Amino acid sequence: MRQFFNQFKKDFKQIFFSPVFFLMAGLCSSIWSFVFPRQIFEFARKVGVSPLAQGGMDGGANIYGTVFISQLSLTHLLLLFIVPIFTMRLIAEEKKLRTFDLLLTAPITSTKIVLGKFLAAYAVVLILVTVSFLYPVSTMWFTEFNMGLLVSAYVSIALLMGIYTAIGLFSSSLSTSIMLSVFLGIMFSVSLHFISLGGQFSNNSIYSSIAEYLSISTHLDGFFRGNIASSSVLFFFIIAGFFLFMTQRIIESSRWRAK
Amino acid sequence: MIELHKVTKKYGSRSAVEDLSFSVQKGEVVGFLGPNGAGKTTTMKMITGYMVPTAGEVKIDGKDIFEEPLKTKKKIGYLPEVPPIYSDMYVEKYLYYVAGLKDCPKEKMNSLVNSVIEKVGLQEVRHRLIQNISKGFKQRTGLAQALISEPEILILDEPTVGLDPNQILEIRNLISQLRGQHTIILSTHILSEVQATCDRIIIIKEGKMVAQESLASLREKQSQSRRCISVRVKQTSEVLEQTLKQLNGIEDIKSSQNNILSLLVNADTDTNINEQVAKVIIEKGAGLLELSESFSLEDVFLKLTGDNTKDN
Repeated sequence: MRQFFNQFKKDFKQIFFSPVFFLMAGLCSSIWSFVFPRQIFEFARKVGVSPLAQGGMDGGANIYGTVFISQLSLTHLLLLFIVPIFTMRLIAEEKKLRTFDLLLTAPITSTKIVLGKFLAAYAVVLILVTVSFLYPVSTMWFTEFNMGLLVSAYVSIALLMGIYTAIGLFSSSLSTSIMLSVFLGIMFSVSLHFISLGGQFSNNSIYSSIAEYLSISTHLDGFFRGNIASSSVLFFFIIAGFFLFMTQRIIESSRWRAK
Repeated sequence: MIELHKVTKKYGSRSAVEDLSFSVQKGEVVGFLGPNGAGKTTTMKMITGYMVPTAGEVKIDGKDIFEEPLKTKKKIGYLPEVPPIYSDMYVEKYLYYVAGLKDCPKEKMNSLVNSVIEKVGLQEVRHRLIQNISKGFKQRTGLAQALISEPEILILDEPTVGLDPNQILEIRNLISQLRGQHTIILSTHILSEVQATCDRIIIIKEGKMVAQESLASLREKQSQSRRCISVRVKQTSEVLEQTLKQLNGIEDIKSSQNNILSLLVNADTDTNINEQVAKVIIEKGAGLLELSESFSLEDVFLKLTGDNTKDN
């Protein structure tokens, strides 16, 4: 446990105190700060034009369905590109600078290394998710909305970021190039959304139900409607776990592979 | 302490190490020699538990390193060819991190870090970023990393490569100080280093062992056959060489640039030969500048590993 925490601390600091993190965090907050107030004003204008549409969970315009959802999708879009940037160095650079030798000859299991690195990057990503969460929350002083719904939606984004972080870590383990690691991370994350494509056109019910379960948007929809299903939570854990397992195997493979 | 039994490592169809067996006793300092690409690093990686051998076994203290990796790895400190340091960390923080990585007890952490900093002489840079310190200090940080958990075994892969002569001397002194406290395997292709620090040498070539002997017995063997006296004079002349050749015991004379003569001496000759050589040179008025008798590991090395070593 201590070894794991030691690894976590080192990698967390390495990402958190890097200029890259501040650059990305700055970029995110400026985009959010630019877009979010405009969404609010736009919403207020619409509500002002037709007062009947105000409030209410169903029907009409509500602040969750317009402003918050667009904040969520903006967060998702930004993090899709930023998460691989946070994870790019985690293993690729260890290999490149040969500090990998230290990790592999130390009395530590590669599972601990992978988990330490994963949670370090994930913690950094969650900081950004939390910052993004503050924007909608800040409107609670002058609007009414369903807090549960908002939290549920943000939990899904947080879980999805777990997958992206695991994918990023996995791409980082594939080569010694950090650029390639970023590129692969984005490619894998994006293509994950297309895995289930074509499922709904199939006549085979088994295939289409598998495709439906693998579809990220199915699970996200549930969360966005405030429905936290354990099967969906499990889905996110399985996918992230799969990529972490693959990363662990790749690290172990350097014990028998020629460079 | 360390036992290798018929260890083979193959990269695809090419074998880097083949059927290598040797053992190292506790407290020994062993020099691991070989031309570049002979499989030194691969062997060391297998001893440290980085790589799994294709065949054969590596035992540390009687236990197979791949069956009980966590326990056995604690006994080993490893300094790879490129020191495994993070350039964006502070020296002291880095050592704390490595101590944690190697699972050193928490309450001993401070004393371990302090003592290793003192041992390798990092006091003046302990609060600096690793990327800003000199290469010699980086190498010392690498050595500190290997020493931090007070391991019984030290594996050093070319610890003095790329350092300036002063730094080489410092690192070499450090290693000599460690003698007795640790069992050390030191790989290098600098022969004087081996002469300065090791008890025994193992020479490998193309993944196979070609010699395994103590330095003393090697020296003896070498001097049993012939000795070599090298002489530097102000000016050489044909007459001088002829006269020297007539001395009893001199087998051959080679003259090279800078007026240096190498005299091969039959081992049976008594040590007086040095005196006689000096006398002849002075009598001929050649101007004796230097006379030294050398035992050179280089000869042994070249003989064992073949001529192709030079162009590596």
